[in-house]
Amino acid sequence: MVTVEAAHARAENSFQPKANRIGLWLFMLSETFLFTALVSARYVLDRFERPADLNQGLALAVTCVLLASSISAYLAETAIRFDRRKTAERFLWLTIGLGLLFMVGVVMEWNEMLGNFPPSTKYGSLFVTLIGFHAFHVLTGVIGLGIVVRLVRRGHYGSHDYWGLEGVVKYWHFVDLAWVLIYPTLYLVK
Amino acid sequence: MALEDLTLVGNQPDRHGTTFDQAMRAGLVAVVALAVITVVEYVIATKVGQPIIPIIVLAIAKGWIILNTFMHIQALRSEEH
Repeated sequence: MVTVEAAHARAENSFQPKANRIGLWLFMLSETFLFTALVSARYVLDRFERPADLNQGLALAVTCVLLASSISAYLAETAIRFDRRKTAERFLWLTIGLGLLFMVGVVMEWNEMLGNFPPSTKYGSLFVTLIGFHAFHVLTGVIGLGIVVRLVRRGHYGSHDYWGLEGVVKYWHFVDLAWVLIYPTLYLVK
Repeated sequence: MALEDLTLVGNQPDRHGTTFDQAMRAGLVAVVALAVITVVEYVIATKVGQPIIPIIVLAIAKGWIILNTFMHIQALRSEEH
């Protein structure tokens, strides 16, 4: 009986990562609906008008920073898959740094936005909502990465079990994916 | 299972048959592709009059690279992952 129970427990444990992954993907799908609603609001409410005084250079720079953070997060996950904890830790710190740099860029964007197109205008309202909503996700991602890097330092995770790190890194990529759609919506389409 | 089977050292393949170098290279190729598409997007947006169609196509291409390479969406279909 004990053997049967142990077999069931083993089966449940081995199945858990797959269930976790499906849960995370469902969570990201629900977030996708929210982002899609906000992105589509820009096209419905403001058509394809794009203010002339947008800071394109700053937007391109923060986009590059976020893309760089995504490859850094990917390299951290790859490193832990091969039991290279020190490398994983370095790339996680780099990802956190790039995430914080992105947040600095967002603050600069908001400062310029308040001067050029305040939230009382249609574009300003969409801008502050979309950028703010996304920035909140970046912030939660940075907090998640901070928790994971602490656990890596303590010796958690390895090639046999790295779900916690994988989950946070996947969420980080999702945040990057959302920006890939927000950036052209706010800055490029006209 | 022996401990050596669980601990991957050097450049041995993982359980999916991918080595550390191969995985790193795939990531770097993806980020270079993302950077090139981002620059093309920017140039189109600033030079072309009504750039909505090419920009949406390029944004979808970037999204697919992230989903496929970084988020391993295709692995969801495999039983093991």
